[in-house]
Amino acid sequence: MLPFIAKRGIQGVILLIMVSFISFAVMNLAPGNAMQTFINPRMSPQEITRAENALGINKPIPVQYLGWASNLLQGNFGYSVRNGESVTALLKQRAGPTLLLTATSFVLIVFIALVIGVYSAARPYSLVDYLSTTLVFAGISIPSFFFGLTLIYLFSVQLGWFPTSGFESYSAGHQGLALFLDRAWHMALPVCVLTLTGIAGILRHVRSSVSEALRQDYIRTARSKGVGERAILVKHALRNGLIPVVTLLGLSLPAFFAGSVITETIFAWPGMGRLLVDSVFARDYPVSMAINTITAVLVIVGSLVADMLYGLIDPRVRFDG
Amino acid sequence: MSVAAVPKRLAGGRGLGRFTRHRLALISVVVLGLFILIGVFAPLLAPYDPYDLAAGPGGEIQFTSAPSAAFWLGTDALGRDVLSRLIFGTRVSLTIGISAALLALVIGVVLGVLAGFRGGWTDIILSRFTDAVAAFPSLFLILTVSSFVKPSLITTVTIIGLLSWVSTYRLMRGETLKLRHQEYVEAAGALGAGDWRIMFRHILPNAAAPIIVQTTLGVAEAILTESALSFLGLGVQQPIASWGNMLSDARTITVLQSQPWLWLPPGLAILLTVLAINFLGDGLRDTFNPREK
Repeated sequence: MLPFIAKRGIQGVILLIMVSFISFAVMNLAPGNAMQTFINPRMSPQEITRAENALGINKPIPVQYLGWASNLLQGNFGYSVRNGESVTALLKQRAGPTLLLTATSFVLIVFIALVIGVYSAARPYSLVDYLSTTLVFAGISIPSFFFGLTLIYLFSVQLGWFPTSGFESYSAGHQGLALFLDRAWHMALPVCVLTLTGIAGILRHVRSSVSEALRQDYIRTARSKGVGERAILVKHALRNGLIPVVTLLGLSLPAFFAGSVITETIFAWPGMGRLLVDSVFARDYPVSMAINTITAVLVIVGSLVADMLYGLIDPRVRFDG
Repeated sequence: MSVAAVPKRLAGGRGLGRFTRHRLALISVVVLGLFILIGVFAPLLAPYDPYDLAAGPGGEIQFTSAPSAAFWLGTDALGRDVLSRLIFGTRVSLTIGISAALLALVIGVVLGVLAGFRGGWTDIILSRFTDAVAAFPSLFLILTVSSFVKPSLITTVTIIGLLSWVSTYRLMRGETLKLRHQEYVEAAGALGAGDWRIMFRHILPNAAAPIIVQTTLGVAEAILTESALSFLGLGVQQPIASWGNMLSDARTITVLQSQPWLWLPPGLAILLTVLAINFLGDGLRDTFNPREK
């Protein structure tokens, strides 16, 4: 297992370096430079040169890259062009709400996909099986913003059950349990959107890998030994259903983050996705590229973790590859 | 030699029989055909000018009016006819979706066949580069890049196409690796066919089936991406109508609450089209490869 981890680790580092190249290149593609936001019409040419030297933007590109990358490694993502705030501080504020939203939806997705996926594989052509097919196609076909708007229209505007947007009722000053319930109440609709749009891939794979497992010889052996149907499903089939969940945990992260951008924008959720949209509109490149880079890093780490979990769940996987 | 160039499953009649058994896929073909016809004949079908004040039969101009006999889907805040904008939006959204998917197809296929056929460093560099691109959620990069460039139809197509070829690349590379050592490919090489001829005359046509399925699904994804981008205000710009930017009005609560005719029709149009393309792609996958599933 150790050589495997080392090998994957090295591959991950190479990937991270490639990612940093792409980030840096995209940032340099952006028209104008950081100087233009600091420039003041009364500055003399000498002062401008001095400021440029201080910012390091007239150095050769490779030197600039090294400076940027070493800052990155120290957790310094530069400063927002909009208000001069430290990007790292901005991201720290926004990471919590996004994590809360995405983690909740992810747990729901995994739970629902396992239950429906295993059941529909065990009973093909049943009502639950049709439900799972419908969920898969609806999930990949509904634009998340349209689904979000429809939910707001139905459950917030017409029925008044949930708030139309926001993170919590700030003015109420809730504490403890009340605060928790208030959060949950605000989260209900956005979590719905993320869950439906994120479930398709995992559900489809759980269903197909469980139904493939059910056709294997060892299942027939277990049945002929008199093992109950429930035990077969839970002990053998469910375990097979977990494999794609773990694989997709890594693979579906990018799409999942992308979904949160739209969802956060619609529900005015104060997370990283909305920060990305805001900074894109403000042409605040340091912020938008920092979000891009961090997400890419998370995705790489996620798939690395998935690779390792894979072997824990499925003993057939050998770590020599 | 040219016999090898025709994929068997596409040429045979049996595939068609299998396809017609997919009722949903067949219905989807009809639905998509209708949408394409609406897009092509938009100027003939639209009752009013989509970009200008629409005057009803009595010459009256209405702003944000509910659906009526004169304006079937009502009018927007600028007095334009929503139905006409929806019809022209069909043309814009379909064109962008299809063009972006084709651009991604070309990039993915060319890079994929190169990586699979050449192997060695070409493969290592291209594949690691692809892994790195895939680590970014494509919508994030698309959003970021679209803030650098002046939004227009062409830049929207280019950005979406340039940033969504990853799955086609991986598929094409895998297929090439499978086909590279087939006897007919080696025979073509022995007969003196050049690398490019082997790649594009012998390997590519035999990888057509999965690539077609992938590209079909790619059109659905591109339509969704365009609509999301335009919804946020970074894709297709006013006055041009696309399904996505018609929905962006609904970001204000008044429109969402009391003018559903402005945002429901374009939303349903996206949903219906993307659903139909996904059903079609699924049907095609079954037709080409009945063992899967």
